[in-house]
Amino acid sequence: MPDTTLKENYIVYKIEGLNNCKLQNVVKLNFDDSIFEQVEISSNLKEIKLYFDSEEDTNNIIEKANTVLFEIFKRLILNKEIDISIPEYNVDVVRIGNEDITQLQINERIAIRDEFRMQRSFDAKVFLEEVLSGNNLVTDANKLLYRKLLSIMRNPEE
Amino acid sequence: MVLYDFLMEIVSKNKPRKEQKNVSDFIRENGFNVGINHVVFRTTRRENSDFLEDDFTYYRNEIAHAEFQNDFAKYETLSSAVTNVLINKLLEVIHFGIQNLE
Repeated sequence: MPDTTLKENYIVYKIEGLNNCKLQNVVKLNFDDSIFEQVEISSNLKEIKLYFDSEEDTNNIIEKANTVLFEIFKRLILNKEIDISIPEYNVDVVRIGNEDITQLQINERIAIRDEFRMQRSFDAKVFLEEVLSGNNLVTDANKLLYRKLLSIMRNPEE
Repeated sequence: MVLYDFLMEIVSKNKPRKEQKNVSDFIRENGFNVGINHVVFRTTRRENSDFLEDDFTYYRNEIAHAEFQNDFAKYETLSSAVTNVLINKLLEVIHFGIQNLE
């Protein structure tokens, strides 16, 4: 298997609102996607990094990264081990080679009440493999419903 | 409230009416009322009725009642009772409903 630990191209998403869950032994996980080859999530669930090795157009990369992130983010929100409190994700850094080409920011804000809970701890690799396992949950048939679900949760007044 | 209505909309597909009974039926039929972290059923607060309703329906109705009566203290108490655990469970049921839409 080729060494894919030295990727220079990546997109970093800053994550907020996924609480009381701590990952140990953070690793990059190989990712079965046509563009993004590895994914890494920080121990505190504050950052998701998508690695790619592609010469594709930057806007195209970001657009596709947003689709992938939406799938991952939705899976994290649906994970019962994580407490949700106004989740939000933003593109933080887009880096190709040694160049920072961050141009775009997106926001998904979802409001659920603040609440203190005991923090839970999981092995990062096991946790991430479980979150990413299985086929894509978002299909053409249900994409609209999941969008509607996130849209409902986005309103902090509800 | 809106999340609950969204769940009711999903589970009422192919049903004659969009109603709360469909939510309780869906939870029972799909086993969300058993096991660890199950959805609790409790006696309805509806007058002259004693049927069981799931926690989602129960809190939805209690919150709506507090809003209707403009009872801020009750509203705050109920809001505190709606924990992340309950919301996560609601999301789990909604997710299951979307994935199993016929």
